Amino acid sequence: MNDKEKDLLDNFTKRMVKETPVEKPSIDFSRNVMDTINALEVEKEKRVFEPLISNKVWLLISAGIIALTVFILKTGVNMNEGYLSQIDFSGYTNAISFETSYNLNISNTALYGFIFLAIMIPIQIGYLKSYHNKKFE
Amino acid sequence: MAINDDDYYIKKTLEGDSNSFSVLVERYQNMVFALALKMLKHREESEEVSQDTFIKVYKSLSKFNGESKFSTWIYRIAYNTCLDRIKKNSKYNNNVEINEITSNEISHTESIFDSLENKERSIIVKQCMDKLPEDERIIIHLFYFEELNLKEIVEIVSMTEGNVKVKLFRARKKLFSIFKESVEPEIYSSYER
Repeated sequence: MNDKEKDLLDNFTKRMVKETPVEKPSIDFSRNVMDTINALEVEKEKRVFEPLISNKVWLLISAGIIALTVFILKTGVNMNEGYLSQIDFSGYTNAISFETSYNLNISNTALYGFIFLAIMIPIQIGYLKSYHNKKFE
Repeated sequence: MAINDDDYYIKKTLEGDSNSFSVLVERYQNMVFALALKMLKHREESEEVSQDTFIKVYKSLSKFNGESKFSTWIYRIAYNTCLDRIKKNSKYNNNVEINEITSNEISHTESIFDSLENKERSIIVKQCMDKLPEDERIIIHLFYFEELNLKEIVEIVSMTEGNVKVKLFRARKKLFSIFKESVEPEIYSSYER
């Protein structure tokens, strides 16, 4: 096919395609789309839930813990003098102690590792929760 | 108002005013529907897919970064939604034979085209377009009907520019062959005159 034929075909194709009618959707198309979108929005609003513990309560709890810590540090309460010191827990602690049950010695490093792991788990739960919330939004 | 105020309505929609989205729907519904109809060839199905397209656009509006034109972005979503539907149905397979075309043939066929009544011409061309394979039909529609440039088409159909050019060239020849075939009796009678 030479250039002249290509141009002729190009022009003719343009004429042909321009001849096709302008296709329009039904009159209520836009309304249907908006109805679906509004229904989606309502559904989304329904799904928004209130947390069990509100921010106010969290603030109160945090303030309470801080106040208690400060109080203990300031007054220097000795745990040995409290009511707890009068109760003998050795029966319980010995029963669940690894050291006595399995004759295991846990080093300080391992202990710190476990503590760190325990801290990481709640952090990860929070992270995963926000990740999944975003995913399902 | 300029088409560029799309940004204004996008922003308003993202701020929570879902009614602003209806302006965008009104603005682009014909374009999306025409594309869906070209691909699916079925009015009800095309309308359904067009609706799905707008719902997808609404849901992912925050991901529109303005790198391409908003219309191109919507086109791409519409195109992919149609492709998904086609894959699901897998009933749209067309094979058209391509023959060599001479300038003489083009002139003759064009004169037949001119002699047809407007309405008849429009119906025949539509039928011929429907016989093209769906990817070529879309490229032809976007290029000649919506007058998009190659770069925009490349963005919509996710093909290379070379590939789009080849398909466009092939589609022109196929459309011509189909049209010629459908008006063949007229061509023969014109030769006899």
